[in-house]
Amino acid sequence: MIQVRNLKFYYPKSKIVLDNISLDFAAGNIYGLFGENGEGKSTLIKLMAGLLFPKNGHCHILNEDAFRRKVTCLQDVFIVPEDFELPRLKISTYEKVNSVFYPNFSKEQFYELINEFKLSPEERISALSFGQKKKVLIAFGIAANTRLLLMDEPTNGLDIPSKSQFRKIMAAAVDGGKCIIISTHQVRDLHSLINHVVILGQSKVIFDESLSKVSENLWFGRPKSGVENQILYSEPSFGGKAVLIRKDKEETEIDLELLFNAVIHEPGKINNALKKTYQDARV
Amino acid sequence: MQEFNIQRISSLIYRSIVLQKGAIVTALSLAGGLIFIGSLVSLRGDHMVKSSEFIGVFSLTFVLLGVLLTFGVFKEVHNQKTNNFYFSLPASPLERVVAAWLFSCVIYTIVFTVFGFLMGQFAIVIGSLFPDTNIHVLPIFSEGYWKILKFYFLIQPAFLLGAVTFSKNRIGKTLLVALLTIFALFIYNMILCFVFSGGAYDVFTSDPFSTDAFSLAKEEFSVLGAFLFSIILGPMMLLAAYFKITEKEV
Repeated sequence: MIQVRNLKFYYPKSKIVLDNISLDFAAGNIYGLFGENGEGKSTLIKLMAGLLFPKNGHCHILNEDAFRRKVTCLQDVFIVPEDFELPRLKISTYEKVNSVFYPNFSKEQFYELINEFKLSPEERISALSFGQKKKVLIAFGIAANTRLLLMDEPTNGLDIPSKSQFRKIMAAAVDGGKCIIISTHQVRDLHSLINHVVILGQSKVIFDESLSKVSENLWFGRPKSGVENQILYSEPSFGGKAVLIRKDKEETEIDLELLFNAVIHEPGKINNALKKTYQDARV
Repeated sequence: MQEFNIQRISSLIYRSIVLQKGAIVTALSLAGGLIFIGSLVSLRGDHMVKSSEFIGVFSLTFVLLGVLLTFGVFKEVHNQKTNNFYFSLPASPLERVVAAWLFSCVIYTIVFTVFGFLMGQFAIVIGSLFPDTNIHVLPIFSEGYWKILKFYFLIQPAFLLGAVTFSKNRIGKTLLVALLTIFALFIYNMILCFVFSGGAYDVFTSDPFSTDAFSLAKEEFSVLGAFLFSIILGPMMLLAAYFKITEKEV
C-alpha cells in the first residue's frame, strides 16, 4: 500500500531528519511508528500524507506519488495530526461539510463513534476540550473509511479510560483492506493494538519487524541466573527486566517499552538476534 | 475528469460559506448599515437617491469586503493547526482555485449586489415615511456600477494570489507588491520614452511631443492596454495561485 524508497528529507536550514529510508506498509496491519522526540515520526507521517515533499527518493501511496496530492489518492488517505484546530461548528455541521469529500464515509459509523465517545452531534466543537476534539477527529478518520489512516500521537490529550477505549475502537476499525499507521512516543498506549513495529533513530529506520516475529524470537521478563550470555538488553532500574533470545523458552507477552528501549540502546544486537534466529529456523 | 469535479467545487464553496458564516454575517451587517445610512443621507435635498450617490458607498463597501472575503477563503492554508486538514482534503488545486474564485468573486458580487439593492431600497422606503419623499426604484445598474464591477474583477485575482502566497500581513504585503509592480512599470515606461525620443525629451516637461506621447499612451491603454491588463491580472493570477497551492507544503 505504501512504498517508501530512499527517502530523504530536511527542513530549510536544518539537519537531515530522514536519511535514505526505505519502508513498506501493507494493508491489513496496524503499524506502530516509534522514535524518540525529533526523530522524524511526524515528518514521515506528513510525507506519507503528501503534506511535505521529499528532497530525494519517493513515497508511493497506492501507486501514486504522495506529494502530487491526486484526488483519487487523497480520497483513500486520512491524517489525524498531533496538533490541530477544528472550526467553531457543531459536530454534525463539521461532518456535513467535510464528509462529502470522502466517497466511503459512513455517517452511521461516525455518529456511533461520537456516541461511544460520549459526545453529542449538537455540541459545538469550540466548547470541547482538546481530548474531546481529538475524539471527534479520530471518529471522523475512522468513519471516512480510507484505505490508509495516519495518526500522529493520537493518544496525546486522551485520559486513561479513553486510551483503552481508543485501542478497542482502533482494533475494531482495521480490516484486510486497511492500513493504519500510528506514530507515538508513548509506546505503552499501543499495547496489544499494533502488529508491526517501526522504530526511527538517528534519521534512519533502526527497526522494522512484525510483532509475531519478535514474539517468536525474543523473550521479555526477569531472567533467572545462568542465562546472562543470552541477555540482549536489560534494565536494572526496572527490577531487572531484560530482553533475551527466546530459544526454547515459553512465549512471553511483548513489552513494547522494553523492546523500544532495547532497540534504541542496542539496535545491532536486537536486529542481529532476530536475523540470526530467523535464519536458524529456516535451516 | 477525476481532478475536476463540479460537485466537489460546490462542496468546497459550501464549506467556505459555513466556515466563514460568522465573519460574513458581521461584514454584511456593517456594510448594510453603511449603505442604509448613506442612502438615507442621499435623500436629503432632492428626496431622491441618485445612482452616483448610491454607487459611492456601495463601491467602497463592495471592494473592501470583497478583498477581506478573498483573504478569508485561504485562512486555513496559513495556520499550522488547520493546514494539515485543508491540504489532505480530497480536492485538486484547480478545484480549490476555481471554488475560491467563484465564491469570492462571482457569488459574492451577485449576493452583495442584491443585498446592497435591498438595503438602499429599504432606506428609500423608510425615507418615504417623511413628507416630500416618494418611493422610487433604486437605480443600481448605472455606468458606475459596471465600472466598479470591472475594477473588482480585475484586482480580485491579484488579491487571491496574495492570499495564497503570503502567510502573515497578507493584505499589506499584497498591496505593497502591487505598488512596487506599478512603480516598476512606471519607471520602465519612462526609460522607454526617454530611449525612443533619443534622450531629447524630458517626460515631465509640457513639451508638445511629451504631451502627445502621454495622451496617445493613455488612449492606447484604454483599449489594448485594458485588454492586456485584464489578461495578466485575471487568468494569469489565478494560474499563479494554482501553482502556489500545488507547491505549498505544511
